[in-house]
Amino acid sequence: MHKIKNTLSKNPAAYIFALYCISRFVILIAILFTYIFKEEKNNIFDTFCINDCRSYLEIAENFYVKSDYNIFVIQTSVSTVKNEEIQGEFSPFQVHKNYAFFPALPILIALSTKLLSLGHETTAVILSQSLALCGMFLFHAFSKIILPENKQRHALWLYAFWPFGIYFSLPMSESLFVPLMLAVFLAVRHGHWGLAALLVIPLSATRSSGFFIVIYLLAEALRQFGWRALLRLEPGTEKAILAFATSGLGLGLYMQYQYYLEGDALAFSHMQSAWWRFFTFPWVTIIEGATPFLSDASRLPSQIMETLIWLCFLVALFKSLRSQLRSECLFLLALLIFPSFTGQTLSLVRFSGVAVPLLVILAERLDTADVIKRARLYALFAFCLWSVATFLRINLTF
Amino acid sequence: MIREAGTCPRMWQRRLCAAILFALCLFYGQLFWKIFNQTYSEDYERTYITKEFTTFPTPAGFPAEIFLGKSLKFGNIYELDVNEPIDLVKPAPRYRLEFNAWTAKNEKKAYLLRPSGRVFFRLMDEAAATRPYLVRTGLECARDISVAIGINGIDVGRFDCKNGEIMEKAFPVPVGTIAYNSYSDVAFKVDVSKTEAFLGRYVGIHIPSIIARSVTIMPMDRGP
Repeated sequence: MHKIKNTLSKNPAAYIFALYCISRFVILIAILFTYIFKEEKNNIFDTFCINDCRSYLEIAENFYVKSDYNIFVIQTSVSTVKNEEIQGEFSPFQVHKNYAFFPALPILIALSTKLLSLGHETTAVILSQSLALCGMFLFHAFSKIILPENKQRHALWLYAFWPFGIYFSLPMSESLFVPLMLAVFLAVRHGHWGLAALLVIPLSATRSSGFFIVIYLLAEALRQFGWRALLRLEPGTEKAILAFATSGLGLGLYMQYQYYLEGDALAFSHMQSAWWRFFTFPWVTIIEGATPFLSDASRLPSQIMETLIWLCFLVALFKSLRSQLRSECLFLLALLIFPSFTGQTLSLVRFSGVAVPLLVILAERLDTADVIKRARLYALFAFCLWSVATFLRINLTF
Repeated sequence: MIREAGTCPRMWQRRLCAAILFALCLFYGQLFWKIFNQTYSEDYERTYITKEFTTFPTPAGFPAEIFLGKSLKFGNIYELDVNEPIDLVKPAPRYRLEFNAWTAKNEKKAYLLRPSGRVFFRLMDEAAATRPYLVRTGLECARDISVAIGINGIDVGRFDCKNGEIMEKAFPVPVGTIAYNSYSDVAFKVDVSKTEAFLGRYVGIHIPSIIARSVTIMPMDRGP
């Protein structure tokens, strides 16, 4: 036992791996717990595969299938009907919804499937777990930017038991988005702009909002080079400018592909209407989301919860703009404000959960030598554990 | 730990960066051009808007095509007779679309079914674009209903009834206004004459088809 403790304290990689195993074990228990109480016990994989996971697997298996695409029908048929009414086999929602899901993760699943010669589902689980582990290592490297050594492990604990972290180890866009985002942060912070220019391409092909990384790149470039150097294109700034330009390339390539397939380069955006997402102002989203007579009563508790969590994140990010991670917080603010223009609180919790730089700031402010504050930290862990189970329950019963 | 500035690259690296930037500019440029074209071309409308709809015969002289959204067929609720024979009661040019599903005796049941029938009409020529239309919904505003006007699938006008009062929702393109509101008939005027871009495009009137008994569409200069 003493030997294990010694190894873990001396070897950060072993420590991260051990923490990863413990946290995934907790999540596994939460999933099994959910499976036991699930009414329909068809397949245990369905318990892992929540929300958008099934769509990503479908794309990985068949890629995007050209079909009788008609955005007018889609938009008009979903503008007034409810969820249960658009679940028919031939519903335009069912036929075309996959266009809304970006291709980076499905491509990675498909390639890994060929490489491992396993089924899509098994590969997706292995891949997402590997990405989660990779994310933990990247997070640790990222936390070193501002944290002293004694606080880096607290940050790791917070990351490992981050309640929203459940999505980081499921076959969903977050599992790829978070490691890529952290990798971009690291590359830029260490001045490797060429590497950042490459990493932002898959980032914007993982999720449309990945394009907002350009805000981060701009903020960091201004901090590192100054606006005069950028405007004059002084030597050393060209890779940063290249990174600005490539930040939309993943999205652009996907749009090009959709144009080739269906003649609609904006199909990914148009299909958002299948989830009742239309352009509106954030205050409308909040008011309608939390007002009983303006929204579906059965969704109201989730909507209020989603809105509150989202608002908490917004406040935390605004307050963190004074920290050393200002550029990261600026990007995350854009990432969180963007979905509030869609008129839907749907998935806001998932979108908020990627704000992991906040954990570094939180770890920096936690003084663990104080007994009361340490107790608070444990309470926070308990809350995280409880949340993992609760979120799973909500996601499965919703 | 944090690097503050980049190092000076060699000239060939700068040239390579410039070449990649130029290629990216070309790529983004052609993509924007495609988006612009697809949004504003008639082909786009024909390809992505017209093919799914059933056109109904229209009497001569009426400068609009009337048709019913095929989307009525989707989902359980549409297995009702909503899109079964629709009477076009003459005399022209008044169009009266009867919704047979109103035959459901149990009103509450009809509400539970939450129908969302949509009637569309397309303005066919220049004259049509300069003429306002009256659309009588035959709806009682005593109920909570919502009527929406859409162009190319995007709502441009919406009227919500709450306890007998009409609440008009402002949209950036003012093509629809309330014509009158009586106890048994909420009517609104659709006028696209000041927005030439809508000529030949689809004006969709979204109404709850079971709740509505009928919809009457007529050019306003002919009188109701």
